[in-house]
Amino acid sequence: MWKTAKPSGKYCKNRKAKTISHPGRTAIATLLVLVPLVLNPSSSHAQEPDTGAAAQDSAGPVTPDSAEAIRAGFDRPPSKPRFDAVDAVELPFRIVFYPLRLLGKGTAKLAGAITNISQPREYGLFDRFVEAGVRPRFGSIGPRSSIAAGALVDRFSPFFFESMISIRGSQRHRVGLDFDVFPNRFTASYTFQREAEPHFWGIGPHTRLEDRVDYRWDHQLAAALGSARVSDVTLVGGIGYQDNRVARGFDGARTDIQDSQLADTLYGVNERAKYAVANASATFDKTYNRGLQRRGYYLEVAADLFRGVDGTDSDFHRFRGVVTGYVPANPRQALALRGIAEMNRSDGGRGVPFTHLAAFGDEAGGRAYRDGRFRDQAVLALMSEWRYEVWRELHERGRVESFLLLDTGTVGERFADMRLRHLAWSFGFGMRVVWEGQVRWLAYLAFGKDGGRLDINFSSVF
Amino acid sequence: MGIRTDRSYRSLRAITLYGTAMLALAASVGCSSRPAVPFRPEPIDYADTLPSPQPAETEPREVERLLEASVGGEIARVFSPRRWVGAQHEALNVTRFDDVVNSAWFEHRNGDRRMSPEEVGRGPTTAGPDTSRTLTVIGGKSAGVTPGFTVRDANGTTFLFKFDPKGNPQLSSAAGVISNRLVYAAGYHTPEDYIVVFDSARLELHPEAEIDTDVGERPMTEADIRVVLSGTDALPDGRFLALASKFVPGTPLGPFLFSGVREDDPNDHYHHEHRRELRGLYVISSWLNHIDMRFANSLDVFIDPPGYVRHYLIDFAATLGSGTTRSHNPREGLEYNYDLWATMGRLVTFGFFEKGWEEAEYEQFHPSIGWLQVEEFRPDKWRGNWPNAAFNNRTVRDGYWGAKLVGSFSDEQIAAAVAAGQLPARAAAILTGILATRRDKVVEYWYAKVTPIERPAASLRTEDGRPTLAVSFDDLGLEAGVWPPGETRFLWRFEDPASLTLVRGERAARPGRRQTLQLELREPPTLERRFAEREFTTLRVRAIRPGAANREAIIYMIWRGTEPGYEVVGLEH
Repeated sequence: MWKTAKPSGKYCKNRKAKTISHPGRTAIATLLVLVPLVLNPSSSHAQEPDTGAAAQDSAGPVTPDSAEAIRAGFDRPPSKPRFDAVDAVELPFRIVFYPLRLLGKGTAKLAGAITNISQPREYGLFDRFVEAGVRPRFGSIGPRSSIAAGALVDRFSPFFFESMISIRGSQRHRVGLDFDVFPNRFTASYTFQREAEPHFWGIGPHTRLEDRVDYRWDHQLAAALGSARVSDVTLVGGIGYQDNRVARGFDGARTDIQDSQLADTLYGVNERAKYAVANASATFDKTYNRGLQRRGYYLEVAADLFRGVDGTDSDFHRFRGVVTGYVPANPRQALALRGIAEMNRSDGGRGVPFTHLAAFGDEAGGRAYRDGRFRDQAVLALMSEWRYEVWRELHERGRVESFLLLDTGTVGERFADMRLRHLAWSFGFGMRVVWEGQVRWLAYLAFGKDGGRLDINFSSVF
Repeated sequence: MGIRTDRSYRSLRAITLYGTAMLALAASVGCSSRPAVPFRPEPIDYADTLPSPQPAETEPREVERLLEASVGGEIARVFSPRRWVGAQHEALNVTRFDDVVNSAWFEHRNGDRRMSPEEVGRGPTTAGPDTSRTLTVIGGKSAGVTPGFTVRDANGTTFLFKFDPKGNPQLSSAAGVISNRLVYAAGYHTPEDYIVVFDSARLELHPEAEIDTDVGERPMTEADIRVVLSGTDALPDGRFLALASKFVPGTPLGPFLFSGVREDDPNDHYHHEHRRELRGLYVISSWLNHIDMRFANSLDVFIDPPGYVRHYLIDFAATLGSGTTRSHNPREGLEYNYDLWATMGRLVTFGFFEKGWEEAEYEQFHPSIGWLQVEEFRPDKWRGNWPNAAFNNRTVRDGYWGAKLVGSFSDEQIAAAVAAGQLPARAAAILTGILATRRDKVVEYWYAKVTPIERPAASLRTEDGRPTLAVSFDDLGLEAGVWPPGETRFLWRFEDPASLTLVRGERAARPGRRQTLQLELREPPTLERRFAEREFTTLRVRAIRPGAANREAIIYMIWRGTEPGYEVVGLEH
């Protein structure tokens, strides 16, 4: 079927054709070009005409300088297409799209420069730190911390020390012992955390955006926590001591909670609250990754008991339940759902400090609202996302997903007090980068009754 | 308000009129104008091998280039009126017979002279690594997709050893060698790639060896060698199989780009995106499923003496069914890695936009072959992993040129190339069949886009005072068996402006590849006015066949006088 035997006469005819319009000149040039081939026998090939020796005799060795003259004498097609009528038509398009192309080029150059920087040529100080067990940490510390950076030292495991500080002045410092015997774990640690500028808008579902006040919350926790995993169930239990202190926010230009009318009625504003804490939780995790997609469901129930100590007249408890499900439509599209219910109840004394109230907003429910935008003793929230793949990495290590989000929920003193009209809705759109099963970067734009809100994160909301 | 509305309306109308007129102009220019082939300057054999000063080594930033091509390049490509009206520039370095000349880029091999299967199987190779003596490891690479190391054998020759992924023995090594042989036989410069089996006990670490890791270079250790070897399956006898790529002779200058020229190389005349060899390489890449045909897999080498840059295609490990570290998947070959339009399509349709690979089920043909499209392979829809300026500039003529190269490989030649991969017999038979099927599809598609005639010749004889011009040519469509002769007719139109002759005709194809059209002329042509007016004669031939929406081929002729009569001086598809 495939018997292609081509006669060699084709190229002979081709050479004859050259002499029609440029008799002699092309042939001479061809001969001159052949000279270097004689000088370099290794570059000769079976297809090259065997006329080199004659050319060398007549023209002599070709040097880079004389080659330039030879090249200048060539009459050959242009190096790029000449401007023609279609180019004239295209010109307006080129002008219109020039800024876009310039932007594209600039972005590409920037990305090229950045990736070039990020490719170390040799071991540097950074690598030595990593090898010494000092691991860099990036993230955030509580609400409104902005970007936080720090380091974790676990070189002398099980001892560890972690320290982070954020742009807005939030801090977290942890020191302790961590016995990680997979799948079980025991941790004893002391943590100091400062949240530099959380906001507070009041209690209940009807608070107004403009009633915002600031505060600073320093809390310390000395705790011992153990976890055990049996099949898909993980049980966690712990006890600890917590010390909470609220002070004025760092931003002097804003109203502090101490200066607001709420100061006199809210427990926790002016009081230092110390608690003995007990915690128990159970999770039932049936989630898994198939390819690049998260599937399955996840249940979590938790109970916390707070008992006032060292003069603190406040006892309360908290129940929290979270159910999360990922329903795939196909390997690229899925519906992700999360339901959250939380209830805090006073067991005596002054009840629940405002810092410990259930919160609705941001990742804890409505993503169009700021973290802790609505607070009360109970919260109900439903979060949903239509996730779909927009790009997949070549080696299928990761992908970029986009999602449409729709959240709703509300807060109340009790679940029975909640009404449909209290629901705060969020809808929006986002992108997330999933790499090796983990969400590495996430951004969304969500809209609600407070307006629009853009959030960028480095971990999954759910 | 009313005035503003009128102005807006007038502006809109003016823009619309301008757009319509310009598009009509572009369409007319694009559709009607064809250069006068016989009077076009001709490319010159090996013109780019003249001695020149050594150009500087380049190291293009991969992310920058790929991002620019994937975003900026794609926007420019899609919003191009030239493309809308089908008036893309033809390749510049084509001869009057629609071919390329030999150069530092390409040399005619199988497409011009039938190579023996042994020659195809041998490819560019001379002598592989001597594995019977010590192999000195002089460098390593744990970063990147394929770990490996650089080895110097006892003869002092340097090779790069690369290994197959665990669970897929010979996947990338066989693909690398087989494609290397076929690309070389097609005419491109490739390094010498070998399948090599060696005993790890013969490896000896050079004291100054360094390894390139994800966090930089550092001295290489014996442990690094063990780590690399642990990433592949040993043979049953404990030895290892690898692809050994010989370092090409000359001074490496970094990769070449598929657009623009190397500014400091005076021999680099034609902008790469307008080179026929690089545009036509799309077809060869589609045949071999070479999804990684990008600048990073090319290499310019300065050959001194005499001092010129030779352009190599390197690293064929991600071809055929091999994705280097795994089998190819259905997405590869249908969508760029960063496919702007597919991504946008999915983004705005909430993920409902599909390109066809999403639901495709696939299973490896064999662990040593991996997976690639066979029956579902569409030569026109194939895409590499990266936008390629030369590929995107291809025209039907470039595609046909590439298809001729692909079609030049016989089943025996393909089998010989596959044999060089040293695959198990069953895998070799499967892969040979796959390559033959894909070749047939390539040929069927591109031959249907043109009138695939070659090697035209003309002879004039006079009987009873009436001159008859016999124009013969090879029909590659008939030769390849794409269409039977019974389903092919030739429509032709002969125009000789100097003698005011216009003859039309139609004839059914005859069996065999060589076809002859008999043109009865009214009177013998004369020489009057011919050269003064630079006029030439054309014979336009269109092959009419089922399923082929082809364009006519033009055979250009010049009247040389009664003897020898018409001489064919050009051919355009």
